[in-house]
Amino acid sequence: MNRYPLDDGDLVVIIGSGAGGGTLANELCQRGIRCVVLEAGPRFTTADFQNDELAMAGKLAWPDSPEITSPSPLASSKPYVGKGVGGTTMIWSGISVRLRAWELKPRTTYGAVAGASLIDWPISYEELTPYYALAEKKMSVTGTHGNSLLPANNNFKVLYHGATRLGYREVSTGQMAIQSQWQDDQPPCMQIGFCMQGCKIAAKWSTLYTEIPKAEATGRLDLRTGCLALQIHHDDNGRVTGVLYADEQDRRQFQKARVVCVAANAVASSRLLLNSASGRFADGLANSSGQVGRNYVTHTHTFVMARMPRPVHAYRGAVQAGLVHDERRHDPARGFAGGYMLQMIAFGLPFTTLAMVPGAWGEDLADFMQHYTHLAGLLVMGEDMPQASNRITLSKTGKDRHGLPIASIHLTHHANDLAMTTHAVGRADALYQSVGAQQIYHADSSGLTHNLGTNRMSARPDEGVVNGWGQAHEVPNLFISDGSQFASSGSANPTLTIVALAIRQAEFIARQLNDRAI
Amino acid sequence: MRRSTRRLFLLRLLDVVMAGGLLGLPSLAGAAAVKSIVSRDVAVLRLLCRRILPLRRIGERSYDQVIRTLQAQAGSNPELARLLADGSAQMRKDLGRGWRNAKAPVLTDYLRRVEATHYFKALHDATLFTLINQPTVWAATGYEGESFSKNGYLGRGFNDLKWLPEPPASVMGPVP
Repeated sequence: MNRYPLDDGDLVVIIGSGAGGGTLANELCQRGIRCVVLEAGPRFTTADFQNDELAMAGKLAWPDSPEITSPSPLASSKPYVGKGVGGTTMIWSGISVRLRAWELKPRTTYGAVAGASLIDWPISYEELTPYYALAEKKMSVTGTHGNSLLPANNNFKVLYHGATRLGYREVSTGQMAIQSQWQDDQPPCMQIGFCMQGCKIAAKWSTLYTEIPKAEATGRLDLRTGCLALQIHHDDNGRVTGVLYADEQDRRQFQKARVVCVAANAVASSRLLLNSASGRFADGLANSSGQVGRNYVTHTHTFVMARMPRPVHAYRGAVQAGLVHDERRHDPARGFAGGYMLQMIAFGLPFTTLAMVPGAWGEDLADFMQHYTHLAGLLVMGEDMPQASNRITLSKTGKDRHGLPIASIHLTHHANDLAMTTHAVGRADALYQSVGAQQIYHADSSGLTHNLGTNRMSARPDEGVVNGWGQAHEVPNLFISDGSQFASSGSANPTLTIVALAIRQAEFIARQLNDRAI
Repeated sequence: MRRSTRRLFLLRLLDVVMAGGLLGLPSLAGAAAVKSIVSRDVAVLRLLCRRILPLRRIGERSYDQVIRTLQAQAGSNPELARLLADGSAQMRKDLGRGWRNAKAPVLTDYLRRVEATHYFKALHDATLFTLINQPTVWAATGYEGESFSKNGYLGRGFNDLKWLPEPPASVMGPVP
C-alpha cells in the first residue's frame, strides 16, 4: 500500500536508494519534504548477508548485463552495482576520502590533455568543504571529527612498512565509514573481513540501516521496493511531471512528481534519460547537449598482491583499512596527469585465486593457493581521463523484458590511464619488494566498479547535463543525485563526495521548493 | 587465451554459474542417479582434474565434488556431455592402454598439449570453481572462511603478525 497516491504530485520522486538517493531522501524528509523513493531491488537485512564470497556474488548486485562494445575487454563483465535498498552501499568497502581541491579543477590544473574531454567542475572545494564535514560526521568516518582510526591488521603492517621504506608519509588505516568505537548499542568493527559481502553487524555505513530508517522515522518517506523506473515524463513546458515505473507485480504505474531526482548509478541513470526521449528531447531527456551517457569515467584500478616469506593472513579484518595518499598529486614529471591512491585490499581464497591467477593450473596453481596465507595485497586506484567516446548509449538490438533498449557501454583506456598504471604498479612492486616479497602478482581490474560522469555537471550547458547543484540545465525540476553528476573521477572513491553533494542538493531543493522556483 | 580475455571469460562464467545456481551441488543420491558421464570417463576426469589442481593435503573426496559439478553441468547440457566424452576418448587414445596407471608427469604433459582446447577449459573451470569453495581446500590452504559466527577476527589473530615492528600509534587506532 503506497503512502502517497500516484496522482499526488506535490512531492519529490527519487530513483534509487543508495549513497545519493538514500541520503537525499533522508535530508529532504528531515526538512519536511515528502518523498517517494523507487528502489528496483528488495529490502535486504543483515541476516541476508553471508560470509561467503561465491554464494554472495551477484546476490546483492544487478544481474542484468549491458552490452559491452569496448574493443579491448576490461576485467569486469558488467558494472558492479548494488541492487536493493542501500544500493552499492551494501557492498562497498567503506573508503571515504575527499577529492583534493585541484581534482575539482582538472582542466585548469592539467591543461588540455589530447583526446580527453576534460572540464572543471562548476563548484569549488571551498564550496564543498562544509558538506564534506557533514558527510564525514553522518558516516562516522574514522580519522575525522574525533572518530578514532581503525586498528592495524596484519595486511596493514606490511603495507605500512613498505610504504615508509619508499618514503611515503601519508599512510594510515585510513578514512573509513566504519564504526571504530561502540556507539550506544552499535558495536564497532569486529574485523570480520567480509565488508563487500554486506556488513553483518552494520558497522560499515550503508543507507540501508542509517539514512532510510531515519527518513522513515519522519513519517514522510514512501519507499517502494521492487519498483523499476522506466521513463521520466515531461509537460509542454519541458518540466518533468513524474516517473513511469514497473511495480512489484510488474504492472506499469505513473507517480506524479513536483521534482524528480535520479540516483540509479551512472549506467542506469544515463540510460533512463536516454530512454525518456520525446518529441521535444529527441536525443534523451535534458540531452540537447548530447552529453548524457558521455564522458563515462571509472578509475584506473589494478590489484597487486605479494607473497611474503612468512604468513600474513591478510583476509583477517576490514579489507581496505589502509590508505597511502602520497601519490595523489599532479606531477607531470611522472609522465601522466592526475594522481592515484594505494589502498590495502584482501579477498578470500576464492576471489583471490580467480582474480590474480585465473589462467593458472598445475603446480603453479597449487603453489599459489598453498601460499595464500602469505599474501599481502593492495589496489592502485587513480584518476581516469574522460573521453567523449567513453559512453553509455542505447543498444540497437538488446531490449530488457519491458521492451526498453538496454545500455550499451563503450569504454577504452586513455594513454594517460596506461602511463599512470605502469607507474603505480611499479611503485607497488617496489613497496612489497622492500619488505621481502618473493613473488608479486598483478591483476588489472579497471572499469565498472566506480561509475561516474555520464550526466556530468558543467558551467557551460553544451559541455554537460547538469549545473553545480546537479540540476539539469534544460529541465529545472530534474536532478541527478548519484556519481553520474561528477565532472571527473579524481583519485578518491566516490561515495563521500556523493553524500556531500546530496546533503547540499537537498538544501538547494528545499529552498527552491520554498521559493516556489520549482 | 590472452590474460585479460581469460579473466573476462572466467568472470562471465561466474555470472552464468551464479545465475544457473550450478554451484549448488547435487546430493550424493542425486549424483548417483545422474548418468551423464559414464564411469570410465569419470576415471579419466579424476586423473586429469587432480593434475589441474594438485593440492597436497586434500583427498579424493574433494575431487568427487569436481566430478559432481561436471555431472550436473553435463546432465543439462548435451553439448558439454559430448565434449567430455570426446575429450576422454582422445586422452585414452593418446595415452594408450596404460592410461589408468599414467603417472603425474605424463598426465600433466598431456594437459599441456590440450591446454587450448574446450575440453581443457571445461575441466579447468569446474576444478577451479569447485575446489576454491571447498572447506577441505580451505583447511589445506589455511583460509579460515566464515568469521561472523566467531565474532570476527578481533580476538582471533587479525593483528598477530610479529615479523615486522608495530606501526606507530599515529597511523592506527586502538583495538576496541
